Amino acid sequence: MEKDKTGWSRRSFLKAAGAGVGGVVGSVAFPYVITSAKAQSATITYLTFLNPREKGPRQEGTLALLKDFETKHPQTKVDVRIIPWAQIDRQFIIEAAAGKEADVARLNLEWLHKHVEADSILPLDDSVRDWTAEQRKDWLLPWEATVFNGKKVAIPLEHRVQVLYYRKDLLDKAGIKVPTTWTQLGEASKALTSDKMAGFTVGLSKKDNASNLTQWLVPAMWAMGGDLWDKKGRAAFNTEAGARAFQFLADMVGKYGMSKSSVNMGSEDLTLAMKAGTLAMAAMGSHRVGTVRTGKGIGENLQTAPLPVPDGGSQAAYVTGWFLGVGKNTKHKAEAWKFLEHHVSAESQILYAKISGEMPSRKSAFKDTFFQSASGAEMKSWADYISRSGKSYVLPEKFLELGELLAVAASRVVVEGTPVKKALQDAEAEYNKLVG
Amino acid sequence: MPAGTIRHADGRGCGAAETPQKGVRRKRFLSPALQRAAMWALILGAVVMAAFPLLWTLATSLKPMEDIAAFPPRLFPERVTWEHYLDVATQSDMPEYFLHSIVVTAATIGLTLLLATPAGYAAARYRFRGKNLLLFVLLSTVMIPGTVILVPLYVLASRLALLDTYLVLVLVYTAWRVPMVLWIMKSFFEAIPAEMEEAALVDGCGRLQAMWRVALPLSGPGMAASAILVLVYVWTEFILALTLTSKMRTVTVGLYYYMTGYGIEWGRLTAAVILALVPVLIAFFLFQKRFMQGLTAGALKG
Repeated sequence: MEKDKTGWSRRSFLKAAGAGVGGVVGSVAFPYVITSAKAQSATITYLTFLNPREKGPRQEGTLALLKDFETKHPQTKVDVRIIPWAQIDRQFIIEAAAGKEADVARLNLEWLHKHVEADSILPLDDSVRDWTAEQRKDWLLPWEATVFNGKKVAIPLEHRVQVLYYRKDLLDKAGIKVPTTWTQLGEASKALTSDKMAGFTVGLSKKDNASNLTQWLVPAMWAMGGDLWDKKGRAAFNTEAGARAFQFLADMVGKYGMSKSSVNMGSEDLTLAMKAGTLAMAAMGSHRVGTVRTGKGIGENLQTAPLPVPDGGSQAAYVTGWFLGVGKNTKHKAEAWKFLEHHVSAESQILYAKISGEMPSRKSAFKDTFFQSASGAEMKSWADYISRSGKSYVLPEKFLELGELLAVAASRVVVEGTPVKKALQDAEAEYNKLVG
Repeated sequence: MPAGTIRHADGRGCGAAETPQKGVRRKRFLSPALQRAAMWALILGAVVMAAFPLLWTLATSLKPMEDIAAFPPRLFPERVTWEHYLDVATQSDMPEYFLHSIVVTAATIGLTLLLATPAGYAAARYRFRGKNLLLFVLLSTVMIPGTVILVPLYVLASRLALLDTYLVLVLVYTAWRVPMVLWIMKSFFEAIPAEMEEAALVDGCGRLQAMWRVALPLSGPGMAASAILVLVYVWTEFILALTLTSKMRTVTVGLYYYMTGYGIEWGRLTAAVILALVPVLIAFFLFQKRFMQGLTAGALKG
């Protein structure tokens, strides 16, 4: 090899020159590459009440979904904000009014009409435009249940349904079949009531906006072909069906052993009572089953069944749950939609159901073999109940106030002995005055 | 005449020390021993009523999950477990929330005293037109519930880019507490004889120096009482902390997370409540003497 006077060979020189040029090009291009990569990644804010850093099946399920999403969409990071479940909808509406809401939020289906009214969530029509008819039918609740003013505003994430909770061991011991009608329920309650045990209780308190009472009354009215409110959102409960429902409550106390202290009880009290083993049957949302089963000696002795219906009535399932909404002011619409689409996919719903025990909202998710196993069969039974008897509904604007007025009416009937007709008339007048 | 005796207009005393008229033996409803016993019974009853919920909370925090809702209920756990405390300390964001609460509380106490103490001094020592009206208007702001101005506060904080910061909470809490602390300090400064400061003024001190060297040291109990009152308010405040923060949560908001839609997590909630009480109890025990002096001294004038 020819060497010049400096001792460099041509090969060495060419290598050094090549390295130098490469270094110059790289130092110019590299920041551009990094900047471009950063520019392509986005961070979306996800508002939820389930803290993925905490212990618990739902929290772990949330974490699993987040990790799965970030694995499949590495360019999108998720910044999780936690807020108490009872405040999440109000807070989201307040933040949306200030233009500061999260990109995606886990919101309550019972608040959907308020979100529409407050214009806090983005309609999803553009995003679901290409969805096939099969995709649109793949939901436990009808597609139209979350269509407002012709716009698709929400896709349900998970559901819960009002069911009858019962202690199988106690019913078996007393030789009682699972009640399917109100008369059977009353008789079973009477047989199971003792000094240390309440047979059946409906929470008649105003707690939590009288949710336990309204979630009992709504399907009860549907089962009799009636409703609590009409299409204009005015009272529709002062009818024969309403009177029958309230008379049943009065009979539960007067004839079938339900305690008058039920006027002070809400869902949390019923949960505690069932956990403590002092309540044999109750009507509650399916999402509390796991909590009740942690009670000493409860476990698999707790089972669920469709709500008993008024004699001669038809089955009706009251379905609530959570949906994912995209913030109206989001600056990451595409990423937010991808997040939503990921979380409501059948695959994600199966994953979440296996970890959390929460019921998917999608019919195709139930085809997974998990829902034939002991752990998943119960969720499948709830889904079947919804498919058979679920009804889509739009809550009236003053639904929360309606619940409280009905709780007052129930208390008057049960505690004061006010005639049912009078209590309903007064509640109807009060509610219609509110609605205007 | 023993201390505390109230005189009639004709010079006679009344109350326990009253001298009975001659020839009339005054019947006592209860003997002194029974009176003491009744007094102790009342005090113990009040203590039990106040302490029982706390004891029950402590007991619940030490019970395993399956025993918490057990019937019949037991005050003392059959088996003690520390799992709820461990969960709160290691499996939740509560340690972070504690830090936020401590920072916000300390900063609010400092800023409130910094603003309200000289203002209270000025209100006590100076006369100026509209003083009473101004003080009344300031105090009336305390009567506005936080929830009424929640949304405008949120919008304002949002526009100033202060949401989810220590500063927004410190500013709002300080604004809320300054009027109350101002009035407390005003009454403390009024109780200090003006002659003491006048002596300092005669010696060549300026007004500020007189306040700093004479009045302020004597108002220690008042400042301690004010600090404790601000601490309790800020530490337990919920709705503003919930609305104005999203990640920078405080302890009270953190407690609320245990009230889930699936049921209240009684074990972790009660453990977190007990832990949340610790800083308040420490502060109270450290400043107990000053606090009690502050509560009582300000009530007496002259």
